[in-house]
Amino acid sequence: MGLQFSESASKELDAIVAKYPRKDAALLPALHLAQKEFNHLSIDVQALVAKSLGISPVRVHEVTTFYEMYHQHAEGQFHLEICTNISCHLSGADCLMTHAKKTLGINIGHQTEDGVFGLMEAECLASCGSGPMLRVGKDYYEHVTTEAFDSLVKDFRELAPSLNGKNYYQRESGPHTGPIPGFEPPEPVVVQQAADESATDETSAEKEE
Amino acid sequence: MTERPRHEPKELVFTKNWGKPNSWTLDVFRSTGGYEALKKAFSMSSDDIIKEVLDSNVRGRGGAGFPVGRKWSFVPKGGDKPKYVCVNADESEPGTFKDRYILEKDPHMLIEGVAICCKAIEAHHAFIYIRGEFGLAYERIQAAVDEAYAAGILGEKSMGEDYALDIVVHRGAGAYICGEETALLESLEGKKGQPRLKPPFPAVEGLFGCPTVINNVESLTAVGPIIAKGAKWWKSLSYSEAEGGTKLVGLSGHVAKPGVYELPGGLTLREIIYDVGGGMRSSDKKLKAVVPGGSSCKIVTPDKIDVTFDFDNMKSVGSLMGTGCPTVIEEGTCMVRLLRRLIRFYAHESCGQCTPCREGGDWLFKILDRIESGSGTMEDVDLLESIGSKIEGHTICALGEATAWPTRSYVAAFREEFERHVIEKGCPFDELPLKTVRLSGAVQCA
Repeated sequence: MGLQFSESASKELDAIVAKYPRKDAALLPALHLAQKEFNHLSIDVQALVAKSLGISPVRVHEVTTFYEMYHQHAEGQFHLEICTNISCHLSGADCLMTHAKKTLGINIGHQTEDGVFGLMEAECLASCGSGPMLRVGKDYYEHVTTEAFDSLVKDFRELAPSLNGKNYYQRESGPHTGPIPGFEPPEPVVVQQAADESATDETSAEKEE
Repeated sequence: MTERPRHEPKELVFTKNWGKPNSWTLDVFRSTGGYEALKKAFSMSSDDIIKEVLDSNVRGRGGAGFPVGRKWSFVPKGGDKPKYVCVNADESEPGTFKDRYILEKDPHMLIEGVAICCKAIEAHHAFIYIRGEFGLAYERIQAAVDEAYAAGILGEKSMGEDYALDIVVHRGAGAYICGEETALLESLEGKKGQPRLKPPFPAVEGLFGCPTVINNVESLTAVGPIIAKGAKWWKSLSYSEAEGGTKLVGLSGHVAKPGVYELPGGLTLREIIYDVGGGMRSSDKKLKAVVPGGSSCKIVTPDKIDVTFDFDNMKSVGSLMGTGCPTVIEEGTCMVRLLRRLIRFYAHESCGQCTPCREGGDWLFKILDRIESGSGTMEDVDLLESIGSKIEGHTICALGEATAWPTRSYVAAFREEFERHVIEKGCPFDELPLKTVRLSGAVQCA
């Protein structure tokens, strides 16, 4: 009833729909938009999306529940997803997960009582050469050690009040990809082939932050 | 002058700009001849473009190895239906991490390939289906598409020609199965990603029921250089007659120098692991096994690593090149625990359509969990092979094989290890230590 997209989100939705030859094809991006707008996809939000695209609520519901990234319930403000699949597993991600559970005092799939942190086990996130890694919203943190993890958690805890209850992934600033700041792995000892300026990208990526 | 090592490519194709500052921008792309190939393509007939790609024999680098040019040639000429090009940027096969780097470091190179493909099959609309979890890669490809529109490369009059060309970046939402080409189409249509029965093949009846070409990121990225410099040049970059070009190889696991490398085609797995990757991470540990190209590939034991790492030769050792991203495993790694982790993934990612995959995956996981935790029996070990054989070949899409192949091959190669778990009533191996490996290599992953 009362639930409505904000004016800007409404406009954004129209622009999305215009990109597809059929209105219902815009369902996935529409759900991404709705989740950004309303934090999570409650049944009411799903109904709103259905109405906006002129499709049945059950169609929206089956798509919402099929895909991992759509959440029907509120997540922790910082949703930490640690990859434990093959390459990260080989880099000791299980140890990191054990450490994370102990540090946060929660199990996989749970949230801390204050709602600040959520912990999930992630599937391979295509960062296999730089594992173990964890994802928080748009950000990739690579080469994660237990010390680096603790430092990240500390930073997030300090940042939490400034989010005003919103989720970290809803922020507008650019994505981070690379080691947790201050915990860069040591320089390579053996540099092979034409390694030339290959280190520059990392620094420029950081500048964007 | 010293001779160029065998594993160093004559010329860098994919990664030539990766080390440059702002490598993802139009300016940098244009500084090395970017979009010249598209200009050339506009002066060529559709048939000539397809012939050049066919002659180059560039093969599908998402894992299947199907010749790219042949796929394009299946799209019927003319007709009143629109045609579509879809880019499979849903890279999620465990152990695979090459496409993300193309998207992050040189997205315009992909866009040029997509545009050429559109011109070749007479399509005016392309979708880049990018994995939902990708943050930086999504922003970079979207920014590159926006830049291309602003520069008149895309839009009503692509490159100033009388040819409309639109590219839409479509984010997935976290479902491995959407990397399967027909599931990807379903997902693009705003549905659950459940694979379709083939035939009809997408080239005839794909997106919205229209003729559609679906190619992997790396495959399409190769197209620009092939059109610019020709099929003969592309073939000359490889040691292998059958498969030309350079290849992005993502090395991970217990190797000294993990990372994404651009290598000439036709190297052996041994050369890739030892000459490129610097051998084992811990010099006192021996190689135990290699997963050659994504976790669904059958495992390769150390006695077989002298095989040439390409689509055809990998079959001779009973495996596949797959995505071209080998995962190296050292001795002391528990294969039961590793397989249990992989099967949990494949079981979870089953779309639920076909009974053998939906039920079999979970069943395999329960058995593996039992064996790993010490309550398995010898019959359980046989059951793994039996269930695997009943999934394989009995499902709509290859996710069935992706579940069955590792299961059957791990049991076949490491049977005594599975039995040891049963006899000793538990896992005889230590937990793998947390160890980050320093960055190194020709192309750093940053």
